[in-house]
Amino acid sequence: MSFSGYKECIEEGDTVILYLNVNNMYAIKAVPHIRSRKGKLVENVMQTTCGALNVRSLIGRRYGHRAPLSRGGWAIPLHPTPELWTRTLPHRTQIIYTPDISLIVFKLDLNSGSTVIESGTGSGSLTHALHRCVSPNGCVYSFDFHPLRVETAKTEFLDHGILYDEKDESNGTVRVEVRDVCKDGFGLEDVADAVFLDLPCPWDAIKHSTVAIKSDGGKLCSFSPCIEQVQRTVIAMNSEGFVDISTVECIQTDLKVASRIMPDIILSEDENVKGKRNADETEIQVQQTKYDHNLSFLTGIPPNTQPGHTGYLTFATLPPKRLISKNKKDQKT
Amino acid sequence: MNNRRLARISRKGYTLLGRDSVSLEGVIGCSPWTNFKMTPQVGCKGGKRCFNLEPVIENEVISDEEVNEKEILENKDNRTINDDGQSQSLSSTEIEALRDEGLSGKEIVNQIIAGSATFDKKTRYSQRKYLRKKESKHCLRERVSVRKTTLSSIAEILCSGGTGEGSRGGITGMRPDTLSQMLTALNIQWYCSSKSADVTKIQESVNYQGTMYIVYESSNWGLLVASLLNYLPAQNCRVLHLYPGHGIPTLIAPKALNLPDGKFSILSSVNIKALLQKLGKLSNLDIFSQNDAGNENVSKLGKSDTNFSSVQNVCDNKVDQSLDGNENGSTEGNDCDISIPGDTCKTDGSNEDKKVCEKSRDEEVSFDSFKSDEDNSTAKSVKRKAESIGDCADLESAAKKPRWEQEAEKAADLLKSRRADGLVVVASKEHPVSLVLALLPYLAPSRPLVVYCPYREPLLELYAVLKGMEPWVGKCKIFGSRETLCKMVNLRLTESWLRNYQVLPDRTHPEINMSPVGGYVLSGILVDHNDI
Ligand SMILES: C[S@@+](CC[C@H](N)C(=O)[O-])C[C@H]1O[C@@H](n2cnc3c(N)ncnc32)[C@H](O)[C@@H]1O
Repeated sequence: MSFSGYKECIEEGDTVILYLNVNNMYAIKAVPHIRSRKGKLVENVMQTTCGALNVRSLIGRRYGHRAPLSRGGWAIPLHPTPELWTRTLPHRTQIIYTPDISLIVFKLDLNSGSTVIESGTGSGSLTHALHRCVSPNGCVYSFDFHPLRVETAKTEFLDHGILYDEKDESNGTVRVEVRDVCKDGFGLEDVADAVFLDLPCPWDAIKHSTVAIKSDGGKLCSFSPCIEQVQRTVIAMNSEGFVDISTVECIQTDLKVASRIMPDIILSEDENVKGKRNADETEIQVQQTKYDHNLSFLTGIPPNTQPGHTGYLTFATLPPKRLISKNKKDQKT
Repeated sequence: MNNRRLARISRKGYTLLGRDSVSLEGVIGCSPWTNFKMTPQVGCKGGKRCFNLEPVIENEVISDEEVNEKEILENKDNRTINDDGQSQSLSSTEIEALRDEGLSGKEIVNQIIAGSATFDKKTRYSQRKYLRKKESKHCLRERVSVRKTTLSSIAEILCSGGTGEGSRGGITGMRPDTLSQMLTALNIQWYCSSKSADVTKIQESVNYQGTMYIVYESSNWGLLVASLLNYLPAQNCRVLHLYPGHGIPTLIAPKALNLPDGKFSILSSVNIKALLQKLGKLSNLDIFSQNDAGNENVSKLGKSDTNFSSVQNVCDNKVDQSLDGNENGSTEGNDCDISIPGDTCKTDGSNEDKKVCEKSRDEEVSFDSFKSDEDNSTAKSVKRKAESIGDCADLESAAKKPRWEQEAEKAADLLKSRRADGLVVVASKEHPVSLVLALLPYLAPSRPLVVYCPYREPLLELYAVLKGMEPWVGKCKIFGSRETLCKMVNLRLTESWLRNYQVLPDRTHPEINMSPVGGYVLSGILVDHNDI
């Protein structure tokens, strides 16, 4: 339940991000027992590169306080956030990463109370960030035509306390449904403040998005890896009456902070040194003091390689519908 | 993208579009998306042309025009067009002169077409592109549309200094994509901790149990404050806004959001030194010797409390005034964002063209007047007013503590009872090391720290200090203990790259201009080494 608001201590069943170092983080569930391959209940022990961790020992421990590992190292159980989840989640599909998610949530003009539709659900990477943004009063509709993915996502969302449940007073906002949104639309009319599409053929879902967006208008965003997809999508957006269509690409670079030294090379001997050519000792001394001038500096080093492309984000605005129908009529005549 | 301005609507309010002054009175009572025609006003002030806005009844949506495929594939090419800069007989100055004579935009466009030797030879696509460039440069469309403001539109307008998308801010260099990444790193969320195990402890001292964020922001138009107010609901949360010096910085962005009044009740703006003083930490502040200019303020602050509060009030008034244009105390002050068709950013023309365009853009930045800190004349006038008001404020304060002190006390009480769920520092003017080290003790474990800086080096230093790297730690004379050091995990320094695309059938390519830097962000999560 740990995705719906911060808490101080780890409770049984919480999803916890186990931090070993920047490159080693794992999402685990804080349960004392797990089923072994043979189906027997056994003590839940997690093997990490820095030693074993008895997961039971996490329960009751405070988030952000380190926990000892068997080989003397430490692991830090962190409170899960949508960003940490995106970095640790089990991939069932391609997922959207945090820099793109940031721009999507920001430019869709969401806030607490908004209604947003996304398709496809995929691995639920974006869904967590959408939930955080619209909760407590908003609503996330998530559609995927893959029944198994929907089932898995649902279990995960329930586990994380973000699944909507009318019987429960919890803070869940996410509703997941199996649906081919290109063929059948969203089954929703005039309800959404924003629609987000991460589909192989987003252009087929644009007209359905128009229907789903509120009559006062709203936002649309489509994520596509290929420029050809973008071109078809933009044509569809145009003909549906969307305006302010803009396509962007965003890449985040991690700079590794390090202290470096570049020794200064002595290219000229000053008169003093020349005169004492023979007095070896003095010469060495002079040279050394010069080298003590070594310039150490802090620098941010970008990685040798990094993802240079994730996908294009195309944003568009739907004007109030009363204006569009008129516009389209005008175009026809 | 469209050409946008942020404007506060009021009866006597004006906004600048290019060299033209446009009265906003006509907008009052109209719904968002209404289109307006600019009609010339009789009698101008200060040599500017003035226009009124008149709603256009047949409502079409003003936006970038659709380009149809046939136009693009038209069978023309540029083999007969010479790029000698001679093809247009009207110079920019001449066009402006025509405007001054009172010719309408349409008439001028016709003259531009007549003055172009090559217009007929161009494809219809490049004809349109050509006209659009001229139109937006000289504001010839004379059409305006109003939209509701949103956080992203406000950020885009403010960060670009008034125009275009994807460019970065004049003052702080923060690009909207960088802002968006800071917001996710800050994990802004709402909760009611009634389910938490520690309820009783929390309840003892504070009367709400929701989330609490600390934001240090001294300029930046209050974009981070606006973002927090935008994403948090109006109950059960708290935004502690810390600022240096005298007077709450101009919160243009939060005001422009048109938030319900209740939203502002979760915000308290507190002078950082007053707060640290109340927390008994002020002596800790002089860690960075070269960064000590601020200490003067401390002594001043101690000496003349009344002066301080009155300056604060005057500053506030000042903002309202400028936002409202000429109007004092207008009631219909609703912010909207104004789009003008056309595009000043796409300058793929000659170099000369680009220069003119940039220059004209500078003139259009109407927000310059808000930079009270940098604008000497404003500062002076504020001081003068402060002196005159100071007298009457003296009487009041004898009976009651000044407001800034009350706010500081309340905030100090809050921070003594609980720690924050997120700390964000916008180090656009002040060096981040002292600020972060002073505020980090008030962040709860497993919560994020996010620091913005327009330059890379201060964040490199901050990173080194937080990691406990020598000699950088030594350099900043850590007082007493090193408690706040070596306590960050997932510490990252990032830079964002953003590229806009022109998407048109057979003419898709990245936009010619891009912003090469949008600021740097350091983020990390605080942890505790007590293994309980
Ligand atoms: C790349 S994944 C989405 C990843 C997701 N945005 C995330 O961040 O985890 C694309 C998903 O779209 C689903 N999909 C493809 N076509 C669909 C359609 N017509 N209707 C609904 N879902 C569809 C696929 O099953 C797949 O799970």
